[in-house]
Parts: sequence; C-alpha cells; structure tokens
Amino acid sequence: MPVIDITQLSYCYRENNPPVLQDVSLQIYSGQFVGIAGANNSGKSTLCYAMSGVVPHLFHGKFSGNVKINGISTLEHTVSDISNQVGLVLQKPDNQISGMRFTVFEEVALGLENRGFERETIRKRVSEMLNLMELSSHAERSPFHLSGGQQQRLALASVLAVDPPVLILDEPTTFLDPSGAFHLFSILQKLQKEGKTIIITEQRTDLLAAFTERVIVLQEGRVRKDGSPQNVLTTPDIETAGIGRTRYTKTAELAKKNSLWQTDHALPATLNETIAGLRIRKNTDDYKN
Amino acid sequence: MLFIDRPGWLHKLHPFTKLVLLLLSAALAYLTGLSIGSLSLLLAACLLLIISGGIFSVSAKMVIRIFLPLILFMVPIHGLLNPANTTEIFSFHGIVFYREGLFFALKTLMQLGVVISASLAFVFTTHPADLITAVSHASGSISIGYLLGFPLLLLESMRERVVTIQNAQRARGLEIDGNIFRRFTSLGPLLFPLLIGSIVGIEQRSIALEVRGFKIHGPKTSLRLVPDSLLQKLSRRLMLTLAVILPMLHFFR
Amino acid sequence: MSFSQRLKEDFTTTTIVLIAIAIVINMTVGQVVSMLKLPIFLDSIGTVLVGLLAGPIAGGLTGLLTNLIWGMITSPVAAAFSPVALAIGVAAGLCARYGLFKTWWLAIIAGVIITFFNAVVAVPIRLYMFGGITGSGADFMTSYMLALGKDLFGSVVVTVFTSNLIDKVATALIAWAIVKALPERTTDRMPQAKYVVSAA
Repeated sequence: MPVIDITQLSYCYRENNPPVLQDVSLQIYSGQFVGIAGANNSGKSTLCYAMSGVVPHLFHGKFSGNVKINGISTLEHTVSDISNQVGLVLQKPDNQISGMRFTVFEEVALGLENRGFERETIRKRVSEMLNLMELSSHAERSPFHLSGGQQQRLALASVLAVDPPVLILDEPTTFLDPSGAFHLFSILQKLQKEGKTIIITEQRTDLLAAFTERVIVLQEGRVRKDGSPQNVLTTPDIETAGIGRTRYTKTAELAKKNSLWQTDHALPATLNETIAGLRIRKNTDDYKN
Repeated sequence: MLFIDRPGWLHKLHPFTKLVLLLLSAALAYLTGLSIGSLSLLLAACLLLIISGGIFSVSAKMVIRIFLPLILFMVPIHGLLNPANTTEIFSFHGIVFYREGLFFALKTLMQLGVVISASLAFVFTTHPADLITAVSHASGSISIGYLLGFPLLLLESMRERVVTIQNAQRARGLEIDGNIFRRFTSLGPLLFPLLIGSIVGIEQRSIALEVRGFKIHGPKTSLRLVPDSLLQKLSRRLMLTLAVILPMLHFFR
Repeated sequence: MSFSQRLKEDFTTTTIVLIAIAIVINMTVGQVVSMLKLPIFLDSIGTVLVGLLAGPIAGGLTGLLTNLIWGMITSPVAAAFSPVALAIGVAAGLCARYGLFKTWWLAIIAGVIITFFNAVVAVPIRLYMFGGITGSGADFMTSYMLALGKDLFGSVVVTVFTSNLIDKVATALIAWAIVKALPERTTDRMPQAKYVVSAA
C-alpha cells in the first residue's frame, strides 16, 4: 500500500479562479526520496499542502478527488492529526519559527509538549534532533538569531521531533546558499536511509539528480513526467515545463554532438554518470585502436 | 526586555505572585484614600522590596528616567495652575506657588511611585518565558503564550528589517526633508512594504503553526518548570482578597 | 451561538498570528515614522488594522497586549495606558463593522470617532492616575488650558483630543489604504475584511 495515494485531485483556491491542480493521480511508497519539479505556479506548493492536509483544511477553495495518507483520507482528519504522519517544512525559514519559545532547544520541544510527552522523553528526543541537524552548539540561542540555513534545519528538527514517517519540504532551499542547500539535502538522504519517506519540491535539478530516486514534473497543475531522475531530467522537453536540465546533461549532449559520447548510451543527469559515460566511449575507442 | 538575570528571592517567586503583589499595591495606593504619611510607608515597603530583591541600581535608573520629566511638569503646573489653589506658600519673582497644587502633585507622584516600583519589581525579576509558561498553564491555551512571546521575540528582527527598508528608500531618493506635506506623502513608500509584507506572511506563519500541532487537543506538558508553592498560592489568595476588600471598606465607610 | 463559542470561531490561527504581527507593527512603526519628523506616532496602526481585518474583540486584544508588552520591555507607564489601546482597537473594529471604512472619506470620520473613544478612556487614566500630567510635550497644552482658567478635567479633555486627532485620522486612513492594497488571497482569510473590501 502506498504511504500517500492521490486520486484525481483537482483544486482551486477561489471559486471562479483557474484550477491550480488538475486531475493529479500519484502514489508515493514508503522509503522513497521523491523530487517534485516545476516552474512557478505549476502547483508544487499546492500539491505539498494537499499531501499534508493544509489543503483543503486551511484554505476554503474547491477540492475534488482524494488524498489518502496510509489509507486514510485527509478529509477525515485535522491538520494537527495529520502532522503526526506527515511533517511539513515550508519555504521561508523565519516564517516557520513558532515565536513561542526563547531558545532553539525549547523550539524543537514545542511539538512534543503540545502532544503531552514526558519531560525526559522530550529532552532526549530534542537532543537527538539537534545532533542530527548539527544544531547542538546553538541549543541555548534565540531561534531568530540563526542563519537561514540553520533556521531551515531548525524547522526540520521541529517537525521531525514528533517522528512522522513522511516528510514534505516545499522549496526549502530557496533562501539558502548552495552549500546550505547541499547540507540540507545530505541530511534528508540520511533520514531516508533511516526509513523516512521524503518528498521535496526543488528548482535545482542538479540536487534532484544527485539525491532523489524519483522525479515528478508538474506543469500547469498536471503531472507531466514521473520517473527516475536520469529518465526525467535528461529529456529536452522538460525545458518547456520551465525546468533547466543539469550542466552534466548539457555537457554529455555536447559531447554527443562532437562524437565523444556513445550514441546508444542514455544521457546522464549527474557528474558521476557523465564521467562513466565518457569512460565507456574512451574504452571503446581504446579497444578499436 | 527589562529582565535581569541574577539570583534573588524575587526572581524565585512565581510570576503570578508578583503580579498580584502589583495589583495589591496599586489598589492600596489609589483606592483606599491613604494619607501622604501612609503613602510614604507604602513607598518605603516598595523600596525595601526592590533593595532586598537585588535590583536597586537598575530600578533607580529607570525611576529617574520616568520621574524626572513627570516632576518637571507636575510640580510647576499644579503648584502654579491647579484650579484648587488658594493658599500661597511662597513666591519667586512674582510667580506664586500654592499649597494645594503642590500637595496634589506630591500625592500623585507618590501614588505613581508605588505602582511603578511594584511594576519594576515584577518586570526586572520575571523572565518572559516563565510568565508565558505560567499563563499558558493557567489558561490551558497556547494562543495566549504565543501572543505574549511572539512580539518579544520578533521585535528585534523586525527592527532590522525597518532599517533595511529605510536605507533602501533613502537610496531611492525618498523625500525626508521637504515640507510637511511632502513628508506625509513619503509615509506610504516607507510603511507599505513593511506592513503589507508582514500581513501577507501571516498565511505561511499560520500554516507553520498548524502543522506543528498548535490546535492539537489533549493534555500538554512543559519542558520549562515554573516553581510554585502552597505558601505562594495562599498569599496570592490573601493579597487578592485584600485588594478587593480594602477599597470597598474605604468606599462604604 | 454562545459568546465563548463565537470567540473560538473568530480566533482562528490566522487571527492569532495577525494579532501577534500587529503588536510588532505597533512597536516598530514609530521607528519608521520618526525618520520623517511628522507630528504623528502611528503607534496604534497595527491595532486599527486588526480591528478592520478581524473585528472589535481581536482589535481590542491587540491594543491591550501591545501596551502590556511595552510595559515589560520599556517602561511600566505604557502598561497603565493599555485600556486606552484596547478602546482604540474596539472602536476601529466597530467602525469597520458599521461600514465606516468603505471609502477614504468615511475612514476620516472613523478616525475622529476613534479619537473620541481614545479620549473617553484616556482622560480618566491621565486624570486620576497621573494627576493630568504625563511628562510629555502634551503637558504644555494642559498647562496652557489651565492658565486660561479651564478646570483640570476640561484641560485634559482638550489636550487628549487635540493631541490625538491628526494621529488617529492618519492612522485610520493608512489602515484603510493598506487593507485595500492587500491581495485577495490574504483578505479572504481574514474574518472581517469583507466589511472594508466589499465596497470595491
């Protein structure tokens, strides 16, 4: 059974506005690391909201279709209940700080306090989270005094503290520098290895290619492509959906034009694949000589 | 914030105990018709509270800051102009000071002195996080803790944003020195980006709160402990009763 | 629907966050305005905005909490005037509900009404708690009125009303303009914004 099962989902924020999502159906399975790509206004955020119950519970638009988390429809639960199953991290780092707690440590504890966990459990859990997010040395600082990257990891620690099996991140790297974005992705990879299901919307295809195992492309509220990053991210027509292919794909394409690439070998999306592809060609050349 | 982090017996009291003490001193100062003599006793008690609480020097600075302008306006205005003035006390180059007005000023300043020193005993010794925990615990509502905590925490980063906006608008040649009408028209470009940006950001902030279990039902726990005691609970009851009964005794006597 | 139920309905998470943001707005706008050296403070703009967007109860709460928090972080004197700030929020919310924020000229009238509510609550506090004097520039006005032979009550009333009139009218106008400028997506989420926006 998929962890998230979406069938024929359509949504618009206001009655007479054009739909933001149209007839979206997809299944996400436990332990997957899924990237969602698409131009601005392609429906990425709305899809994230739909998978965490924010849509339709907190927006009163027109909702049709069905979103099930572990077999239960989001319509049957409150956002708070769903948050035990699905953790949601948003785009702007400082908008996600609760503003109710004076230290980073207490900020992470908030979700656990709200759910009535024992004090000792809370301490243990928060320490684990801060370690994992490499924030332990900032435990006693004000959450508002952290850098964007640190605040984003704090937001992740805060939703992760209650141990939801699924994590959804809506363009979490927009306000981060490249190293901060890479850091966040490598933490997510670690979490995936621990068994979490990760769903992330992201514009930078090189990060999607390097870390995810499945990429979904949205265009005008519809699913255009869905497959392995290597398959999806190398096809030229994703550029029409407003997504730039990685520089590795472009390098290989150029190599192909200049007969430096085996014609029957698929185009790559990552650095390693590009090097491997070039090596194959070199080996065949060496063999011929 | 005004909180001073140092050990002291006032620091160890429950926030509500200090708040009720503040309420009681305000009730005594304003609603029980105390004479100047009794007011000075009350003021002395407040002073004792502040000294024993180890916050004398900071409080003294604050009291001077608040009272200097008050005294400067209060004494001459009432001493010279209070409509009840009849008895001359002394004159200085033809400017006459009156007894009634000066007494009125003195009494008002003493009443204010009681309330302000009791307030200082509260704000200097209470960490806002303890107040928030105590209020959330007593009301069973997270919202009120949020409403108290968020402004305290966000104020600083918001002030930084204001400076950024000011610099940006200045760089764009915003009129800040022209005549008053021009300066009024500059209000819009200065305020709109700040205000509209903050209001539009509410959507994400409230989503972030909801997905953190802001509205979750059921029992809650708290990492932060605010110590309370039976003695404090009883004295709060007693002080509250006094704060209600003493003014009533005064009015119905 | 009972009062407490209505209160719960009105206080969605969005309203709570709006109130918290508005408190910060109240506390920072003064800093912006001081740069222009104008005879106004606009320190209740957040309170009035909440009144317009979320109604009188939320508006009043915003004012009350702003001054209580001011009391915690700057000077306890601010806390003494928290009932005044509460009255401003309630007045703004009521004005909006009765359609007094539909156009810019109605907003000016609303500003005058808010000034009136402000005075009704501020005068007794100034008079009984501070003996009519608060140690600010407005005291010159009070002493001038006293010198003209007015009684203390009358002098304080005149002082409070005149020193607030321009400020509250400007506050009402700016609040009106801001609500009009907000995107639909935002006003849609605010429980009372319809009373202001629907005229458009």
